[in-house]
Amino acid sequence: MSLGDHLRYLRAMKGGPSLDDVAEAIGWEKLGDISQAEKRYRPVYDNDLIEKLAGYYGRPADEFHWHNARPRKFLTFAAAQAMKTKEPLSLTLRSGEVLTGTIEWWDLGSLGLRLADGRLLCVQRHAVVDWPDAINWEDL
Amino acid sequence: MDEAALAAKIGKLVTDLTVSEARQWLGKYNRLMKERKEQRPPGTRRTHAPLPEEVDAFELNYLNARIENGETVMFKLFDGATLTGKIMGFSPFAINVRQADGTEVMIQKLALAYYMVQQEETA
Repeated sequence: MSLGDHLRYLRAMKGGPSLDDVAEAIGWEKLGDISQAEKRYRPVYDNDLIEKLAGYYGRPADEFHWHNARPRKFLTFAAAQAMKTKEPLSLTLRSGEVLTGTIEWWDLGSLGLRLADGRLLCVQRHAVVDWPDAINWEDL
Repeated sequence: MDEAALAAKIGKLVTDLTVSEARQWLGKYNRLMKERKEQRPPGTRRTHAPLPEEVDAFELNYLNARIENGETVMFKLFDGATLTGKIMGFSPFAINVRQADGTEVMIQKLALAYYMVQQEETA
C-alpha cells in the first residue's frame, strides 16, 4: 500500500472530509499537493507535507514514511519481475494476511495472483502493504 | 466549487436567481469552460486521468468471465469479512453482487482486498 492508498483509507475512515478540508486543517496552500499525495504512484518527497498529514490523521509520521517507501510504482516493478521469472511472490495485505502465488497479470488497479492450488485471485493493489524487497528500488 | 462558494461569487443563492439571471450565469460559465478547454495543449483530448480499464483490461476480462460462467465469487473485504455471490454488474469503482438469499449488494472496490471464484465444497 502506497502512502496514497493509506491516505485515501484514512480519509474514508475519518468520514470522508474533502481535500479542501484537509488542506485548510493543515494550513497547506496548494490543494494540488494534497491531491497528488493521494494519487501518485511514486513516493511523496515533501517531508513537511507527510508529517503534517500524519498529524492531521493522528498517526505517527514513521507510519507514513513506511508506506511512502512502498509506493505502487515499486509494486509494479516487483510484479513485473515475478511475472517474468515465474517465481512466486508473497504479498502482505493490510489485514496481515499473506498471499503467495505467481503473478499472471498486473495493471493499475489489481494483480492476478495464481495460488499453488490453482485458484486465481484478483488482488486489489490498494490492499497490498508489503512484499519482499519492497523498498529496494530506485525511483526512475 | 461548492454552493456557498458559488453564492459568494455570484452574490446570491442559486435558488434565489431569476430565470434570466440563471441563464446569464450559465452562459458566462459555459464560455469560461470553453475557454479553458481551448487552453489544452494541442493534440491532447483527455479530460480526466486514465482509469485502469482504459489502460489494460485484465480485471475487466476477469469480471466478465465470472459473469459469463455464472460463477459464485468470494470477496474478501479490508476488514477480513467475506461476501459471496454472483456478479451482476460492475463499474470501475464498484461490483454488484447477488447473494445466495437473493439480496443484492454493491461492493466498493476500495473496500475490497481480493476476490476469487469460490470452490465448490466436496462431500
